[in-house]
Amino acid sequence: MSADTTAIYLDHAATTPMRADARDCLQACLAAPLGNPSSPHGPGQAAAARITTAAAQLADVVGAQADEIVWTSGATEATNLALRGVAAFAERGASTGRPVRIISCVTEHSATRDTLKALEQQGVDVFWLAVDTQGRIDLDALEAALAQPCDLVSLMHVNNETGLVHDVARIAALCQAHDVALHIDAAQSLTRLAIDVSTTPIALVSMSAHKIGGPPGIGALYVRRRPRVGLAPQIIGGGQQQGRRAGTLPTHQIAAFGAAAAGADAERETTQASYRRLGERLWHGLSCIDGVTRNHPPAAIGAAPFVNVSIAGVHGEAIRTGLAHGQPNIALSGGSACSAARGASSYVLRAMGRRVDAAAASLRLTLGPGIDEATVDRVVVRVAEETARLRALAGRPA
Amino acid sequence: MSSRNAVIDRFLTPAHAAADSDIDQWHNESVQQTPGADAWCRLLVQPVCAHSYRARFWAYGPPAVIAAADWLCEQVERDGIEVTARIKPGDVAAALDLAASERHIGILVIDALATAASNLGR
Repeated sequence: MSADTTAIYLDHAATTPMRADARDCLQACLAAPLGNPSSPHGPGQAAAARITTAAAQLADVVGAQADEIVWTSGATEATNLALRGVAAFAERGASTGRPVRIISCVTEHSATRDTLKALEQQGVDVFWLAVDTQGRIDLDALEAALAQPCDLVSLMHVNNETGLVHDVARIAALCQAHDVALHIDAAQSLTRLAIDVSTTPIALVSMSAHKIGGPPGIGALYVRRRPRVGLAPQIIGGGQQQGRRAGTLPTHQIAAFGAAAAGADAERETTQASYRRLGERLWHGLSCIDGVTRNHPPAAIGAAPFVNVSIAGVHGEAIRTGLAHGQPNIALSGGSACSAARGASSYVLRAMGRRVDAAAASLRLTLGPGIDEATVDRVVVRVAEETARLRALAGRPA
Repeated sequence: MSSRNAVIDRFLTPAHAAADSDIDQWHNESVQQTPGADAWCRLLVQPVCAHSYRARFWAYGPPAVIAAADWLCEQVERDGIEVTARIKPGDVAAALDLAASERHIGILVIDALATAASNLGR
């Protein structure tokens, strides 16, 4: 392939290419004579053994026990199970006379936002925490909100657009002090940041395979055993997974998820240090382009793979399209891939106080395997070229 | 080329984009922008001889705005301004296979042309 047609993939927050260890595991499962993991015969038990191994691998990454892992179709379903499951369980056993109450944040992924908005329609009282210009919540505001009776706090670990890392340790301590369960959406933090539910009092953790080099279509929800968190199942029709989520388990996807989690976590420190260096190089290069502003937080509170910028004087959709079709073509996004499907400007950046045009003209570049210094430099040159082209097309102000 | 590729191809390599140096040569121009200033189009039209014109544009907006402005300039140069002035927003949308959410782009560029055309007589 010539250099001119090379694709540079910088959208690892949207999805990641499958890791070799996960692919090998998946292919081995597909080639093996595996049965239904719920069946007592040999092929069924062979499949069940693969799932047991994967559960142990994933649980080990987050400091959980294997039987605390509930397999789902992805992080979105895991989050739906967490939010709807807690709300339904609380409602079922309600004797307080008050509505179910959940605390969350305005910059959550739409998996959380949309689910909570749907629950609001059903009478759940949702308290939305605001964020500052870096995307941080005010812990005093959280504590004040926790002063009222509450059933759940739901926050993402790493923001999917900016990479802002919420202070989960302090948030969890606050929730524990008020005896409120904490749900963490770890779709962007699994194997990127350390997560240890054995030392951090988190009740529920949503996880996704395809964000860490595993296959799409599989995720998991960590559900704390002790102290127990009440969760009503949302998919019924079988007794699988101790009745927490019905449906025949996809052995090949689960096994590959476990392999990806183990492999990625083993490489975590090395890869994240590399992404930090590359991210700083990328930001330094982009910041030299006139009119570029930074949306991602400082390194101390940001996940390494994320660089998010707005470029003045160019339309967001135009520059993203130009970069996607240029030479080399660069795959990136303006925000969440899920938001891109709606064609909306970033509600995350708007909540952080950015102007609407800046929120619409944002570029989210997320680093991953195969990106090196030379690639980063080519991206900077290409963004500068496309910016100049679009500004020339716009001409001087009338 | 397929219709959607028409947008991308015109966006990437518009044939009628104005050069910065053009501004002093064009006296019949017009600017239109969307109410939210999410897009705008500035058309430059110049008679070459009877019923023959040159047309160029500056535009800011999503790729479909660039493509629509380029397409309209092409129509002006090919068919003249009187014929092109009869183009409806639906014609622009059909030519470029614009989505329903992009229909306003046809109005944007046609309004810009109408004003440019009215300026020709001044």
